[in-house]
Amino acid sequence: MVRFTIGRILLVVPVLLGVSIIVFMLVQLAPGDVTSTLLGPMASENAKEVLRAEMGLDRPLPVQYGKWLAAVLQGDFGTSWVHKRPVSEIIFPKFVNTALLAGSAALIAYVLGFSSGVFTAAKAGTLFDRIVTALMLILGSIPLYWGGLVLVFLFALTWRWLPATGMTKTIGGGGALDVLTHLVLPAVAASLPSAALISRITRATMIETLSQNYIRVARAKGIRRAIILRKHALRNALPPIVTVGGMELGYLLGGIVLIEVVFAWPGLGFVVYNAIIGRDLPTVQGAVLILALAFVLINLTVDVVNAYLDPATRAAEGGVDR
Amino acid sequence: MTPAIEPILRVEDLRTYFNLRTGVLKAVDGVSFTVEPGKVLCIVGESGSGKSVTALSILRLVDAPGSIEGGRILYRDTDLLDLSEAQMTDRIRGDRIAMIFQDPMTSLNPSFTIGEQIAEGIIAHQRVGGDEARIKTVELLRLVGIPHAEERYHDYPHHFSGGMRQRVLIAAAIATEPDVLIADEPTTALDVTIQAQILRLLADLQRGLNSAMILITHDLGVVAAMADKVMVMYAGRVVEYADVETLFSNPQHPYTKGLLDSVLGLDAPADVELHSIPGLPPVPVNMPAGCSFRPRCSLALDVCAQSFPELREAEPGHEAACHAVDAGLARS
Repeated sequence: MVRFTIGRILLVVPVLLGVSIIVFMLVQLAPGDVTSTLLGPMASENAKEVLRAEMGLDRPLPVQYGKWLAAVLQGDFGTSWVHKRPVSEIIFPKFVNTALLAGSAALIAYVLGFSSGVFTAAKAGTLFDRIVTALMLILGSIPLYWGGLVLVFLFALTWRWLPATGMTKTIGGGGALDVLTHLVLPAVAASLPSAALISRITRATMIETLSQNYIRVARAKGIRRAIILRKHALRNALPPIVTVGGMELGYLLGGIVLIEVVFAWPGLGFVVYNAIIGRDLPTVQGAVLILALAFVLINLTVDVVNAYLDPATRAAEGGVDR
Repeated sequence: MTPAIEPILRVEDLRTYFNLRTGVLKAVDGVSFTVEPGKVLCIVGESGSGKSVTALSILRLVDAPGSIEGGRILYRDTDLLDLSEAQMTDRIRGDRIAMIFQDPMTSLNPSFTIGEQIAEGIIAHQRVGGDEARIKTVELLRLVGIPHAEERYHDYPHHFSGGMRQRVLIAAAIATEPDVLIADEPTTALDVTIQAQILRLLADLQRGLNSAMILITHDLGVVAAMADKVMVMYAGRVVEYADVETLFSNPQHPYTKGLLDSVLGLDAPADVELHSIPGLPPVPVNMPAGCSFRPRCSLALDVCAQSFPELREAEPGHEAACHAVDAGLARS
């Protein structure tokens, strides 16, 4: 198990290298000349030449990549062309905001999706099952932004229970309670499609597991249904649920920009959007890199958790159980 | 004559139907039998004859769309059909009546050690703590012939072969010293060399515990080796019910005869053609009146198309359900 984990972590290195090359090439592949973007269309050829030398753009590509990578590894993502500030200063606080929102949304989705999936599977075929399953299907089919707008209309405008917008900073802002009240609506809105998907996966894998022979054997042994569900079925239904849960968290991190726009949430999605419009390539690079890193780490975690859940991999190589 | 032993389990007129879209499938249709402590009843029949559903019905483990429509299942003096689901779980299943299934490869939960899976049954039915259950489990593993029981307690099912898994499942089944042991084709999925070992183990344990055993099989060799009584099923009904010696020496029902003729003895000449019963067993959905074996029967009479033959005593302790037998035509 330990060896598996280490091996899996080592596998991440080439993946991240590949990601870094693609991200680096973003600048090279972007149409137009970098220097004309920076200096404006009226700049003289001479000035461009000077800037190129200054930025090291006259050096061969591999050298540029090496220098860039060395800087990135030290946390230096370069300087924003638009804001003239270090990219890391711009994206890290925003990434924390996005991670907070996406993490909260994922948590809500896990709790809602997992519990509704387990309960509907336990009562498969009953009226309860049909109502909850249909409800989750409807919730999951609502487009993110529309669901967000409906929540804003109901909770912020009609009943005035929660603020719709006005979130500026999560760190050093109005305190935990302030953050929480601003977080509820966007997190719930963002969680619904994921919750629906996780619910459906959980229900399907639970029903599949409950039809296994060893479940019938457990029933014949006189094991109570609650224990069969909790212990025998749930344990074996977990791996696909963990996989989908990880995928949904990654999806939320990258795709939550719609919710950020609807709720004016100061997240990374906004930053990326503005950077793309303003052709601020170092910022785009930094944001893509950090999201890719998060994605890779989530997948790594999913793989390790699933390996741990499978006694065959866990016990192989003389792992934790022997 | 030994004095008759009081049966521990009496099944009377059991009817288990499946309500399918195409109609009602009468998987078990009016089956009655008894089993006595220390005795083995073999249920014989082709696939789909209702053997397994009969066994599952006793533990009330038949899932929808199947349901037990009638009859009585008397354990001692309690009708199991009157018990609540909770009573069945806590007091009958895996406690007084235990079951061993056909496929040992899929009958153990892959995520738990085999020790845990035996111990959980002990904990569910006997007032013992985890430590005591573990000690008992290791004893059971030794009893069913698993070497290094102490260490193997902590192994997962994927470490075990099919035969070893079936031993584990047998250990789990006898953990509470049940009064009735149901074994549904326990050796069908195993290598021929392992089959005999497992059957001998089952027979030894069953005799040791003085339990009654219901052994479901389609292997007449197994019947000859294990059974005290034999019940032959066809299309959800009992067609013949007798002592093992009587059945083999003097079969009455044409179906039983066909089954026995399908087995080659060792002394059979090499060029003899293997006998088989023509046709296929029916799927008992929307069965017409009359005997369900009639289309395949060489002795069929006019009356066979009109009514299903009742199970009647052909001689003392030997019952068969056949109009031809009733008419005295089946004597060969």
